Amino acid sequence: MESRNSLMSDIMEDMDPGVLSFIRKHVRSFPRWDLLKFLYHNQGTQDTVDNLARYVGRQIERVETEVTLMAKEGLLCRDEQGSDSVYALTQDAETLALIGQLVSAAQDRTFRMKLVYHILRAGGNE
Amino acid sequence: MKKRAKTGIAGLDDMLAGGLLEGSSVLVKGAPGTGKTTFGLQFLCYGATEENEAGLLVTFEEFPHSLHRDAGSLGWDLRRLEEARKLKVIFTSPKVFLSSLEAPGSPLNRTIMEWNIRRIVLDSITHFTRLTTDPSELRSIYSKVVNGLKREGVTSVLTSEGVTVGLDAQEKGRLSFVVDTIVLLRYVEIESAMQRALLVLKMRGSDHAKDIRRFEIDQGGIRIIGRFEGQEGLLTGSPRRMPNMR
Repeated sequence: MESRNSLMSDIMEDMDPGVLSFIRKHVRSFPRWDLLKFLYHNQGTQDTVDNLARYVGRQIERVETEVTLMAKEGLLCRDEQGSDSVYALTQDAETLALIGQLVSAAQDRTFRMKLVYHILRAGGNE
Repeated sequence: MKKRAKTGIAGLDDMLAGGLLEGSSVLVKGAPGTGKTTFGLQFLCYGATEENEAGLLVTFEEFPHSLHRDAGSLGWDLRRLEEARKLKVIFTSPKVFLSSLEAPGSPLNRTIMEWNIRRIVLDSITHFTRLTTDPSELRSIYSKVVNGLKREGVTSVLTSEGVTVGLDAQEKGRLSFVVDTIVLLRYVEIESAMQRALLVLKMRGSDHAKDIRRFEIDQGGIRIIGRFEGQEGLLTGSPRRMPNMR
C-alpha cells in the first residue's frame, strides 16, 4: 500500500497544488467527476437529481448521493422548489476557477490518466 | 405610441411595424431546423448589444455548451455577453421552470430582478407537453407561463415545434390563442430547392405585414430577403407558379 501511495504522490506531484488539493478533497468518484464536468461546461443548469442523472448518463441513486454531498461541500447550490430540490453549480468565483483549471487540465491525456488512477484509488469505481 | 422591442432581424421589424410590442408574448413556430432557436438568440443578442436590454435564454433540451458553439458559428459570443451580465443561459426542465416562475424568491425570479432582464426566450415551449396529457391542464400551464412572464414585464419569445399553419382550434393546450403574436417559419420547395419562408400570422394590438417572406440564415443570423414573387400555395410546402406568371 505504501508503494502505491508513493507512486500516487510521484505521478501527481507535478500538478498545481491548488488543483491537487481540490482533487483530493472533492473528486472521489466517476459520477462526481462527470457532474463537475457537465455543470462546468453547462453553467446555468438548474435541475433536479433525476434530470442531472439523465444528463450525465448515471444512476439516479448514485447521482443523488453525490449531489447531496457536493452541496454540503459547497460545490453545488441547492434550492427547494415545491417538492423538488434543484441543484446548480456554485457561483463562488474561487471554486469555479479551480473547477475550470481542473476541467481544462483534464483535456490532457496524461493528466486524465492520473485523475482516473486517483479516483480508482479513492474507491470511486463503484 | 406603443413601445417596441426590435428583433434585430433585418426586414422583420418592418413587417412588425417597428418591432414586437414590449411586454408581449410571441410564439415562433416551425419544423426542426427552420431557425427557431436562431430567431431567439438573435432577439436576445440584438437586445443585449444594441438596446442595452439584458436577456435570458431558458433551454429545455439543448445543452448550453452546444448553444454557445452554435451561436459562435453565427457570430455571437454568448460567453462575452454572459460575462457582461447582458445574457444569461439557464438549462432546466419545464417542471422546475414552472415552479421557479411561481416562487417569488426562486433563483429564476432573483435573476430577472437582479439582472433587469427585459427579454426572455423559452426554447422550446413544446417541452411543457411532457407535464400533462390533459389539454385543459396544459392550457392552464401555458397561461401560467405567459402571464408569469408578463407579470415581470418582459418581452418573451416562445419557440414551438409544429407545422400547423393556421390557428388550429384542435391544438393541444391552444397555445396559439394564449400568445399575442405568432410568427411561422417554414420550409418551402421551389423548383427542386428548399427555401425558408416566414409569416407573421397574428399580432394583437398592432398592424403587421400579411405576406409571406423568404429568409436566409447566415453569419449574423436571420435575414429577410424578399417576397416569393409569382408563387402561390407557399404554406402547403409545395407552391406552384401563379397562372398569370407562366
